[in-house]
Amino acid sequence: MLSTALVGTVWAQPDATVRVTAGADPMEAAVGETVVFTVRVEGAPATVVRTPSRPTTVNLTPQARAPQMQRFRMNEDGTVRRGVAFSWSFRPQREGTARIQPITVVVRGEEYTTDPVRIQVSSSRRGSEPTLTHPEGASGATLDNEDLFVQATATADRAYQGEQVVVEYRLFYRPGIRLRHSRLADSWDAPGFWREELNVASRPTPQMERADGQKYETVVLKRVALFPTRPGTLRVDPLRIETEAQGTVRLRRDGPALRGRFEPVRLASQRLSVDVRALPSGAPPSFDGAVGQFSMSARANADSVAVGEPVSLTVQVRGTGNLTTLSPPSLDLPSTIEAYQPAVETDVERNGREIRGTKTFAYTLVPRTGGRHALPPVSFSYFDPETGQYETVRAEASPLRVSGTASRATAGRTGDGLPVGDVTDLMTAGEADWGPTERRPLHRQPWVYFALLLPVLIAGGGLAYRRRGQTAEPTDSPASDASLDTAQAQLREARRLGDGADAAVYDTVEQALQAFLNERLGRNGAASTRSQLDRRLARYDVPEALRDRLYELLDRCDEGKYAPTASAQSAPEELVDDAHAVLRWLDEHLPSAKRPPGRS
Amino acid sequence: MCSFWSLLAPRLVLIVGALGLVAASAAAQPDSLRRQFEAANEAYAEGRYEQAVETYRTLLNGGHASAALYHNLGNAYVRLDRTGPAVWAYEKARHLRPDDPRLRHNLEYVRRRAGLPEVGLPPRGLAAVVAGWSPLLLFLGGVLLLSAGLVAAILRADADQYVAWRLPIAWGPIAAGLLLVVTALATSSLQAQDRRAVVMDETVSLRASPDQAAAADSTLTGGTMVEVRTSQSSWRRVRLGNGTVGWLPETALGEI
Repeated sequence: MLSTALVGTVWAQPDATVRVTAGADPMEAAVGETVVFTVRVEGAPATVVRTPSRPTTVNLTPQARAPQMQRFRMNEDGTVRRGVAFSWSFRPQREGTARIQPITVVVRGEEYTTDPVRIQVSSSRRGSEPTLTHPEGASGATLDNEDLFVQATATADRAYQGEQVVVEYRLFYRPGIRLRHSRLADSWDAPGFWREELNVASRPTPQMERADGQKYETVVLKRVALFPTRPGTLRVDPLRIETEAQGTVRLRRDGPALRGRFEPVRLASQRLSVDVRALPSGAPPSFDGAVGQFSMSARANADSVAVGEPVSLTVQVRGTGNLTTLSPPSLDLPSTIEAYQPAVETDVERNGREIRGTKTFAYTLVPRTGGRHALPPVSFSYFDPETGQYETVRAEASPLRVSGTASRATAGRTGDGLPVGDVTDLMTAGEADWGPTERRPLHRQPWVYFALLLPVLIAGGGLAYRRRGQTAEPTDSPASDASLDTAQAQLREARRLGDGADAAVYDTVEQALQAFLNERLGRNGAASTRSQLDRRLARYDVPEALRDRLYELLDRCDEGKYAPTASAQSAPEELVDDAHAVLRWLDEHLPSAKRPPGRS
Repeated sequence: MCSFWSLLAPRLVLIVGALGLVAASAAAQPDSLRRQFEAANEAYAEGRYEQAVETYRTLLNGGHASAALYHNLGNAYVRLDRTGPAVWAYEKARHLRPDDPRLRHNLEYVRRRAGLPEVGLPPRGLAAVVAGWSPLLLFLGGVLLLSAGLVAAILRADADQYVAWRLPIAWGPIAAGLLLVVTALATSSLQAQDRRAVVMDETVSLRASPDQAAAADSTLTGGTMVEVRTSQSSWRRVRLGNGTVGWLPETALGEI
């Protein structure tokens, strides 16, 4: 049995009541094993100890950044001393010497520095023994590793890659020993293995067994199926537990057995290693890593469907081996049958002594054409470690008769008529609105800028139309139109109104002139200024002399209406004659509906 | 007025005649296209998906495109389990027919099946504002309003005016028309700048620089949408939906 102990070292102690020790467990380890480095501070409560930083190491890989901290009390010469321990886990990387550098612990502001710790690392370790250790400082220990220990066993120490190896950890203890407060003391790992836990009883009934000629009660602590993922020597961590055990003592050789006290103990199983061989060459094409013993069946849920109707093909693989990591068997289907990724269901039996169970692959197949489709057999290959050979099993499903043509009917549709779990049907040629492949963006198409001329062209056309309307239908006839006749009639009415002192005469004359101008100039009757009137008359080439005569006449009307004085008034006859003359002259220059300006 | 129409009539006859020729040639084109398209559909229906893809591609290479063609091409790619090209084809179709629910459904289906985000890569910024707008419709509306406003300005002018700019019935449509035209051109420009592409290869490495030997930041799977930022020889600088920026070879992308 390997003796493991916390190797303590004592250094310069600023405070004699405080003692700081450091050590590693084990001091000799194999590559990949776990080494626990512990710093114990005795004589000081945890509240005055600053948590130290993880020590730097050589040839060791840390497993966690923060340490595990444990407070403890110990009895030393009748004095209770308190303390705290900090632990880090490391794994040796390669064969040789590993080193944990000095670490400094601060207690009540004082620094305590440890010496470096060296660990011998071997390439492999096998055949080690279970161990029992007592915590540092524990006194009066009565139990040793013949009284209780943890035994690790594996179903094989040589295996093929992927082969199932079941490791079992059992606690052995002498009849009469009582245990309490048992717990895992450290993490457990099996690097390089795919692991599947097997169930063990949470409240086991101890079984009686003999070991090395001694009677022991035994319970299974842990059972795990390991599947090596690579060839080489792979190691399995020892299982470490901490418990308190109560033995019996006899005061006399033949005296009665008396109950002792509960002693804290730390148990560790032996380490295991498995030599893993690579799988032999010559694997069949359908082999995808399955190792064990398997059987297979395949079944379709229908043998007659319509085109587009889904068919479920269920392939079931059952047996012992690496079920969880099995890949779906590949289907070599014709292109007229569409296959979707299978739904996978794994049913693993964990209550036995090894992993066994069933893995089901449910493929959905959709035939795209009618006719009789012979489904090719499903092939599944595995490596049988017992025979050391590859095996291939085949399962055949009955042929599928598919009715209908290629126009598929989908399994289900949404309220919008869209298929569920599939793409929509093809669009027909009638729905195709053809265009060029490369479509330039609108702002890079020249026609856009030409199109902007369209409103301008339309405006130009409108202007031309309007202008043409105003100058259309020339006539040589000087015949007056209704406006002239109306104005002349109004002037005749003014002449009849009496003498020139009557404002009504002036008003009538002015109205006759304004009505004529409104009609000929296209005005809407709104009052306009003298300058506006002048611009319009000038646009029709009305001579300046005529315009002056018109304005004089209108001024005379205004004066006659609003400022009647004898000197300013002219005779009505003269006024009306002048108005007649102006009207006739204007008629020659202003366009009527039938006559363009300037024509006579 | 009669002479105005007498001047316009011969020109109209010429224009209508030219349009007739164009329409006739356009009408003649779909006959051969239809035959090829239906042949590709038939190949698809019979499960000859590779052949269907080839025929649809031939039509595209001939410079002819339609939403239906891209849709059916996407379907064929789905049957061949080629996610990248399928997403590309559906996105191209959706570019031409943005509101077709079948395209949206198929895109969602393909993306869900491939474990891709179902929404693709939504546009950002101003491009997000004008997403789905039709520059052509905006432009035609603008030109129509401009024309109507100008005609109203001319017809409602007094005899002593050429154009009545100040009438609301004139400047209102003219202002709205100008606004629509400017909006249409800006929309077109923004939409053209928003370049999207789809990863066509099954997987492709996003590299830190345009070099095959550059560090690969991450691996993109087929069907992933990216925003194309810049180009450098045969490389495209792209931005992913999560903001990651890197370089992809041009051949691994299908621009939409």
